[in-house]
Amino acid sequence: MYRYDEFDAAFVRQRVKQFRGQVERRLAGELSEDEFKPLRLMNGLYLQLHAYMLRVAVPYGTLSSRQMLKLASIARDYDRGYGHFTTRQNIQYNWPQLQDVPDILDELAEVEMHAIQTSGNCIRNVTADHFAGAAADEIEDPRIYAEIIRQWSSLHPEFSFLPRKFKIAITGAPNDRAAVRFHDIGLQVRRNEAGEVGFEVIVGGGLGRTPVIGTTIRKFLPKQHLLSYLEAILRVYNQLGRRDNLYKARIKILVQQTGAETFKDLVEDEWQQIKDGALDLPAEEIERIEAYFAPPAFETLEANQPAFEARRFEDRDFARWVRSNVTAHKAPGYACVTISLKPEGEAPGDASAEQMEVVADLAERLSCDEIRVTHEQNLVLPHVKLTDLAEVWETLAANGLGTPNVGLVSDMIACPGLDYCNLANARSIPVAQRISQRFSDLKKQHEIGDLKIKISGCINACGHHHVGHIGILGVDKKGEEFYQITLGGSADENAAVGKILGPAFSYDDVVDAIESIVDTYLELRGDGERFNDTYARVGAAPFKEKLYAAA
Amino acid sequence: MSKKNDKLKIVTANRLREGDVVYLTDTGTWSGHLNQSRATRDAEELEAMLAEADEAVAAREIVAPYEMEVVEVDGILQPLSTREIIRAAGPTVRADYRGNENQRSRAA
Amino acid sequence: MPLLKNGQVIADSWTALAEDAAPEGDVIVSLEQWQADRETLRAHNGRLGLRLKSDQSPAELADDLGRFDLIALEFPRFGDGRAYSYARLLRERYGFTGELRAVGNVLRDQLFFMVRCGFDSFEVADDKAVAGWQEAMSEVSVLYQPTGDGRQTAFALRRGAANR
Repeated sequence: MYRYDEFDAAFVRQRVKQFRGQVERRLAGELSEDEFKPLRLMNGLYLQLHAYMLRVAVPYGTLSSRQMLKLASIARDYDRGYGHFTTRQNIQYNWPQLQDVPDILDELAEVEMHAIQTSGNCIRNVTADHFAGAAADEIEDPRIYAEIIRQWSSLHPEFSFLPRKFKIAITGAPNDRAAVRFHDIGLQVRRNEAGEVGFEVIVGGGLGRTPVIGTTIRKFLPKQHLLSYLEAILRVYNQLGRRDNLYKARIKILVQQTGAETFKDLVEDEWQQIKDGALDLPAEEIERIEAYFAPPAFETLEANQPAFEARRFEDRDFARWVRSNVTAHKAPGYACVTISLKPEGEAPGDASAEQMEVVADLAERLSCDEIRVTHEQNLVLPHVKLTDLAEVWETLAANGLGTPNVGLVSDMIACPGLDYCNLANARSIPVAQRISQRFSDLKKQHEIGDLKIKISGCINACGHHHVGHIGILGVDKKGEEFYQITLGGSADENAAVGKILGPAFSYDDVVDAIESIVDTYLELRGDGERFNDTYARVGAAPFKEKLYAAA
Repeated sequence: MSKKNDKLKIVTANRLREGDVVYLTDTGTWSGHLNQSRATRDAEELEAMLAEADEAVAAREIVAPYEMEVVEVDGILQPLSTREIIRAAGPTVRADYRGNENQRSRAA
Repeated sequence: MPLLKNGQVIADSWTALAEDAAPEGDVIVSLEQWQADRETLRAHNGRLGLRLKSDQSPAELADDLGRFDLIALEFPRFGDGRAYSYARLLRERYGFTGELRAVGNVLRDQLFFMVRCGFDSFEVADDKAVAGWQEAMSEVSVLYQPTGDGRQTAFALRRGAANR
């Protein structure tokens, strides 16, 4: 894992002190709310429906046990005993007081964390594959570059007042677990014909009210040019992105309106002027950062562990959990464990301080001190020995963290929705809770198999509904909550935006509607077909027929 | 003669330091309880209440004030919109953590 | 409005050229004035300054930039950050060495970003920005981005430390 050196440590301390000063000036009346708002947002502090909300960055989703313990103690000491993990691999606290926030940031700095640029019209926290450094299909660990980008983007003097927020995601593997085609910039680590490692550069993807699949503007960018190329893209966007209309200000609209080819030419022209300059990344610098992400010293183990295999046959619940929550690791005898934060009837992504401490303890003892946060709002223990899986599972299960549903129908993404968010039109979390209760039979969930339901409480699409196999969008109809359903979306390497099925459903009816869609899928699916395969084959008609005929 | 406004309105905001949801009361203070709020159908009175809120903003007591509609049922005030019901009562999804500033229990 | 340079409030020796007025002394003109009347302006007895709106890129008149001793870039709202890019281009690409002035909604908490992008004078709204200047310049000393301001980045300092 990356560790701060003296410069990083000083930077974060200075930033906290600066924010403390800004809070003091706000409370003393030297700053108006209009002036203060962008300053607090650049430190991740919102004013939400009930209270302030603080969004803390978990850079590229990687945490140590010590950091997780700190997140737990902050939840307990400054909030209401829990935190909410988000689709951008961050954690949000829903109830901090403004006057406490500088102290919270000081505590975070103690463990090399911060809330810098988790909001505002700037370059946001860079996200990455949550299996980075552990995945069997990885070309290179994307966190090396995510960290380089984190530093370059921190308080960037030119790019702190962009037309709109700017999100970068990076993946090191061909199986895209970071949704790189749905970010302002997506970076996919590629190997060229000469065997060199670089990046495919994708721009202009995004969700929100105008979902767009990003366009590749460069098939292969050599590593040393990473920052100059990013700076060129940002410079073009900062000058030409629309500032007259909030809803047309993201880079995706600029790329659409100028045309991808022209946009690419603008970027390439700018890049020609600044490449091979001060932003060039020398091999030594990449190696310096890379050293921090050196894999832990894995033990040499047999890929086949009889005790583990025996346990699977002995215990059906364990076997089920292994099937859905355990993924292949690159080192023999190890596995990646995904901890579901979606137990039946609970708020997706929420974890109590006690649960965070359980995870921290397991990570320290049994996962090389590492934890990951996924964009699907779960946690990961990336390096667990097969022989330790039973102990990990038992401990998780005893603490409400053992639900065997990763990738299944109840493993939903849901934004905070109208229960917390100032922008929302409808609630998301209780819809997710009711769906998980409807599908409480785990055996049935495993029979249904891979199915991604994603729920947003408004058109801003924080719940990624556009890319759910089944997407649910909350809308307001004359003060009442209604839910529009889309089918066929996908956030992975087969990126697709879901299509609206028909008229929206009321809060009371939406769960029945989802069940009807799932039942139709089960009736129609062919051998080995996933939801989107069946949908692509049969189209929307059979789903509509069943759904709207009944009504 | 003051103009009649058929909608019953109250004024709400958040406390600047704490962030808690508050409502303007008859005595000009800010309460965490919606049912202690001053309600009016009178447009001029509402304007005066919003002016009071602006003063409280200037005094750095509250932030982001606005008027909202309520209905009165048997003498009890009830917000009209789902949003304001949730804002008054807390999230609908976590009974264990529900509460407003009057119930806030923070670790010492 | 106070004019801030090197942390000091200074008297402004420049005046904005009024519509249809004859240029006299050091005048700041708009892009439209410059385009309409460049010969008269070049011939007048004084220095020339140019004021650009946030949708007027200096790249459009790169060949003319040498005519100006001052360029003022507008921030119509402090959230409109286009002029940060314009400033860097002026300094780092077009080699502009005259006074680069930030005008409009120029606030204390943006001053350091502006300095790093190449601005060296600031028309600020009130004394708060004046009082906060020293702190604004020193509160964050660790810098991750190379710009044309000559300040050492963390990256350069790390390499220096490694080579010692």
